[in-house]
Amino acid sequence: MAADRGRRIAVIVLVLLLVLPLLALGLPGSPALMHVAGVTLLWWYAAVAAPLTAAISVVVARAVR
Amino acid sequence: MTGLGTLAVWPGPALVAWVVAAVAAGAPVAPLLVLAVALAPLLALLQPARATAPRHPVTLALVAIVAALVLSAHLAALADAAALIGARRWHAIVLAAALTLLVTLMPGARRWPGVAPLIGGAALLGVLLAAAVSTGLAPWAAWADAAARPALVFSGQSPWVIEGERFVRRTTLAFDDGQRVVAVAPGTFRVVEHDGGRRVVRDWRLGAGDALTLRPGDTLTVEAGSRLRFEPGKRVPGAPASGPAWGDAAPDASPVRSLALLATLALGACALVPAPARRVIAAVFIALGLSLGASSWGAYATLAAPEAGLAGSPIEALLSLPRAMPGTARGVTGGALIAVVMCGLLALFVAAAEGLRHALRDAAGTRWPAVWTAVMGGASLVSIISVMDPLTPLMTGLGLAGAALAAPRLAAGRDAGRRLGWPVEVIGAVLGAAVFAAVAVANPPAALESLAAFPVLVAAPVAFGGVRLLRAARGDARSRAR
Repeated sequence: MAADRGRRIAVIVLVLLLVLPLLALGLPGSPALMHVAGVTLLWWYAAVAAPLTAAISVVVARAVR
Repeated sequence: MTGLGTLAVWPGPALVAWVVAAVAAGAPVAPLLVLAVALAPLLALLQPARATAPRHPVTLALVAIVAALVLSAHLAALADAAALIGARRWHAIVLAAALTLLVTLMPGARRWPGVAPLIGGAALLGVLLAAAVSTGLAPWAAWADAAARPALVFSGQSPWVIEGERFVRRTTLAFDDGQRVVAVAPGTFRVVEHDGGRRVVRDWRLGAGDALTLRPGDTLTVEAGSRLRFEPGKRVPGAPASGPAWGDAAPDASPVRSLALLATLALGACALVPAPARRVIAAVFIALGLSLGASSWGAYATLAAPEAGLAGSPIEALLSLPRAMPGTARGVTGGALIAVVMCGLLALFVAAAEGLRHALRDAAGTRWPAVWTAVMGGASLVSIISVMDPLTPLMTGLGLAGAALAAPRLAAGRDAGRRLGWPVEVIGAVLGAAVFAAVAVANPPAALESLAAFPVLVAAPVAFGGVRLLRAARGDARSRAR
């Protein structure tokens, strides 16, 4: 049961990570296009932050058995 | 099957080339694509575990079609790579298909399912590290440098400027500034000029060494196999207007198209990547490597060779980086690095094919060797006969897999039972495939173009809903029987 719950939560986290940029791009002021170390927040999110968060979610979900 | 072997079906040559090319070209969809390509296989790892899919001729046919489409995409990418380094397309296709059949049909070779993806990943990572050492820049610094350029122009050392390069397929180039191009080999070129509000079409037959002058706003259509030389210091046709425009790429397409792209990749991954039994950590590293590696490669490629997407094939973005590196990057020549990239792509193809073979074996049972050989032969033949964009069969294969395999499977759960003598999941698969085909060939009005471009957006919900309805009907019948 706990394993199934963990898996479902991880699925929700991953789906949210996927659709978040679509929602963020609609925000006023385009915060997704702010630069950090020469790279936009959108790119930091797509290439680093979201895959890392997703990976941690999957590892935790698989560990809960 | 190990986690590494499980996920190896995902990063095939066509997919890797597509992501790198999108980043290098500053395509508006690039951030979303990188995100989806990295997260989709992780989402697939979270699918509920299930015993075995119902073995049925319809399922086998669909898995075979999907495998053939995905294999065709990867073979087309390898063929493009061969054409770009001056070899024949069919040489690459025959070599890759023969090697893969040897590896997948030889019982001894299948004991090490993680070797091919490891070789492929290590080869590409090695070239990426060589690029970092050669430029002396970390990926984010390379990104910032590329994004700071006032314009993306041809450098004096570009092969497109020095000896001219070959176009892999028919391509139309849009010129933002005036430029004089020289035909390296004889060919026919179509120029569309916009004179005031008037559109003037001119066809030019040029001999080797003949020049063509293009004005801002003109488009030039080049046939496959043509070779052209461009002027140094001029803007790359079709490239973003400036470095900042490249670096600030953000999805500007309709939300429906973005959603469709996410659905195609996520459901395609759910169909092709089975939930692994062990070594999830290795699988996670592949997904992370894909997002970080592809983004970094795209940044270095843009910095070294902004003309990476000119030849009409996404694979050029992968090859442009080793080509543009100085001849003595720690004693390693550009030619040697191109060979490493080619070996890496071949290894990724073998790994992806091995993953597809697993799916086919589950569907075909003991007949799998014959079916697998036929699928590989068919995909090779199609790739040899037609010079297609790798993206077309890749997106069709992933979309069909999502609509006809993943959606019914997710809806059916562990035991959906049978209706009309068929397993409910198979009925859902037929429904999904039929709707997918109907939407793909339909000629919808402009407002519904996104649906025709991504039929999975209609077909997957229909297949999912159909299976759920049949399951619910079965549950009602059982309740009444009690």
